[in-house]
Amino acid sequence: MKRIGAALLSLAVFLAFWKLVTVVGGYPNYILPAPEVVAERGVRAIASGTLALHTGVTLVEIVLGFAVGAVAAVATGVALGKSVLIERVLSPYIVAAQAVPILALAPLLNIWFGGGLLARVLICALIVFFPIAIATMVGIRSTDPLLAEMLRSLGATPRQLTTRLEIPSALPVIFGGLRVGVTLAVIGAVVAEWAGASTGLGVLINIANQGLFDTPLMFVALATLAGIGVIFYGLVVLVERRLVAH
Amino acid sequence: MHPRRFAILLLAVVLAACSPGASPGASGSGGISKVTLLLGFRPDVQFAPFYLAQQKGYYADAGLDVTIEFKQSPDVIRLVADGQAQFGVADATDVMISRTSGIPVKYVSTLYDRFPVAIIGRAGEVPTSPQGLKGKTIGTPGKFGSSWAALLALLRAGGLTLDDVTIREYPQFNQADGLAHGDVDLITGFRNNEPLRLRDRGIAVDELTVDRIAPLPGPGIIAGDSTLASSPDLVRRFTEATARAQAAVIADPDAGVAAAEVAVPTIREDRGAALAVLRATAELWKGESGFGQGRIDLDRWRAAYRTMRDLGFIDGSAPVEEMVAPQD
Amino acid sequence: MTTTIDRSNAARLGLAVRIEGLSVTFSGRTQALRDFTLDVEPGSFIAIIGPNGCGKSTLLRVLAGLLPPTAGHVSLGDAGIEPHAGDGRVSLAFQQPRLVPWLSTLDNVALPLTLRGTANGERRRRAEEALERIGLSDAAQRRPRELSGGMQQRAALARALITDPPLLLLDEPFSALDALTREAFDVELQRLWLDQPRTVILVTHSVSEAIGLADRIVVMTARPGRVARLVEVDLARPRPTELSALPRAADIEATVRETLASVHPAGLTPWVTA
Repeated sequence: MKRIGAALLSLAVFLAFWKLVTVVGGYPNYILPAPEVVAERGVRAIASGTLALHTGVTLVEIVLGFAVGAVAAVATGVALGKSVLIERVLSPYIVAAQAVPILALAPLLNIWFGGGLLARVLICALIVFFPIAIATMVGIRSTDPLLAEMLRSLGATPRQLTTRLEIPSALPVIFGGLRVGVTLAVIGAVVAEWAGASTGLGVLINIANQGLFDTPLMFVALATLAGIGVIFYGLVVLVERRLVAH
Repeated sequence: MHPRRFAILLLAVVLAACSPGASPGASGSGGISKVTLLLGFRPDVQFAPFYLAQQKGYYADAGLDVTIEFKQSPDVIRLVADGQAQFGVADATDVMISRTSGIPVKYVSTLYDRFPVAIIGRAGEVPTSPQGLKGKTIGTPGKFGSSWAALLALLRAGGLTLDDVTIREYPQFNQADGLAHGDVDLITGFRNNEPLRLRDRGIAVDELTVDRIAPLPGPGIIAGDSTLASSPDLVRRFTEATARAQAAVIADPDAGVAAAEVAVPTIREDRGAALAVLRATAELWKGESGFGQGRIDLDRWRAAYRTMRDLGFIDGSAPVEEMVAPQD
Repeated sequence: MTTTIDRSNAARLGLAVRIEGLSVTFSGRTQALRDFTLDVEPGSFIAIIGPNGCGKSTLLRVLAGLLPPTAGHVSLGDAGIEPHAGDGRVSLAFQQPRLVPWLSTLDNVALPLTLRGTANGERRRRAEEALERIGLSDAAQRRPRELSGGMQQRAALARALITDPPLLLLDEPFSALDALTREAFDVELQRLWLDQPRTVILVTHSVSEAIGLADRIVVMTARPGRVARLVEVDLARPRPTELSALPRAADIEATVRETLASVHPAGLTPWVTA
């Protein structure tokens, strides 16, 4: 209850600050709309079904992209963490792939992978991948060697060592990566949509911004994305609380 | 200090409100007006008239000191409306939509007398009438801009709707790659750009142009209501000097490429291609009855206004007279 | 009052250990053990004592199959099989409890069975039994960090015993505990061993602990470690906590201390004298 109160209070302060900026700066709605203008536009976008249509598509991309990216990243991170050889061979490519601006790569990926949901999920997964893979690698490396020796003395197989010790002990660090990753999944979905899509919140931003010159609608899309980011982050934290004993 | 930066500074230190001062506008000393021109595309040879006017003193002759800046195209309209720049280049269709949504800009001078967007496809695969679009897969940057308006206008002229075609969006403007890759049958594109690029890649192309079927005004120069009200003379001087430079480039495309090379050195890498683009572009400037010196064809605007309203882009709440400010 | 060990019974339950000329060298430089030879009878309780760094822990790691010998030969049981990690017949309890922090005490104790794939019901039953034997039933669902140091070490011992190993290796498991807790452990260890005799090799720094528990004390030299002397502890069991009253115990202690002093010429006495 207290937590909800604090969240509501901070939201109120944020909205008040936003309003103050629009009033003091005298910004027209097409440059920086006031919060009540955005809210009113949001209500209309909900009533017309526009917002639900685009939000649904983006949610699917975020969930699938995050799932694919996170699973691949944890598997890769475990391999990187366990084998110095694999790390030496793979990490330059992983780092290089991360350094390449995804905005430039996304349109190509979109064409290579047929321009459908698959392409968008892959683009999203690619953005999600890096922080989780690196966190997993670091987490695996931080396994207590004394516990590893104890498990080996009990006859643990390499696979058991990974599943029973290395991954569980890396979990807090992996979840650090997942927290970053899930917010990147939101960005990833939008970048993927910007590379080619006909629905989604990223598309709605484009339509509002470039097609309709409807800045308040663009802010509605942005606010929805922000809300999705906060909710998914909260879900990851919730799962973390259940899985990781602090 | 800029009043808004001042306002944010004030907020940052949590001080009381302040009132914004006078809006920034054209300023200058000794008769020279400093103005900013915003272009909504990457620097390239099709902007040769602006470079030429800068370099050859056409703007200076008109008492102007012009700074050219490149912005995202939707931002051009907003910034010009807000008075953060005096002039911009924008699609006529975008001016209609943004004016209707309450953004105070007007189209003040025509740059392209022919509508530059066409439906482009491999040679022999492009229908000769809009009815032939039925069943095709068409690549376009997105549901915005003059390409989208042109596509819908063509479909409507052919008695078709969006349900009769498949749309694939290329928000990075790389629909030509989609056509080359075989992902789409046809694309929307600029007649001075995509066809040349595709031919460069050894792909023979045909075009289905919009002009005769669903006339729409092409891109032109825009100015904000505040600039038009406070300095009408400035607008006239700028559009006239630009039209003069445009005429000079039409007469001597080589001089246009040379001016563009100074501003955009990468053009030197393929001067031949740049010259071809500029020649194709000059054809679009001229229209059917020759170069119009920026004149606005009000009949075409009214026809386009009805088309845009019928297509649902605008609701008619802003009259066409508010959208244009002819300088002649 | 006193019982003697039934050696024939012990032979059945314990594992014989033969160590011949064992040497272990780390990274080709540091020699931890050199030419170490020892025969351990099945079902006997051996205490190993020696200066710090004399290779006692290294010896246990070799026996547990965690470390290969550099030279020499080690075999376990009548079949003479070389040690290998996961040999179900050997359990090693470390100096630190090494409990898995995110598992409950019960799951920690059950870990050896979990790794072997023992069925849930049986695993649970045996873990509960092991906890009960060692007096930790109440702590079954608690996490290791909620347990005292003594309770953690008890849980570690229960984990080592849950597979009922014929060879139990103890690497100073009580050294981090306070004197009273430690004494209680020694009593318990003796009881457990009398209940269920098996081969035990205990590494310790405490002479009195060694005398209180072992059949034989192996005194080792400083690094590289070798056997300096074997001391028989021919005292009846169960032995009282306070051994100093027994003249025979005092003799044995004197012998062990004398040997320790001779292998540690620097005159330092890092081992516990209490």
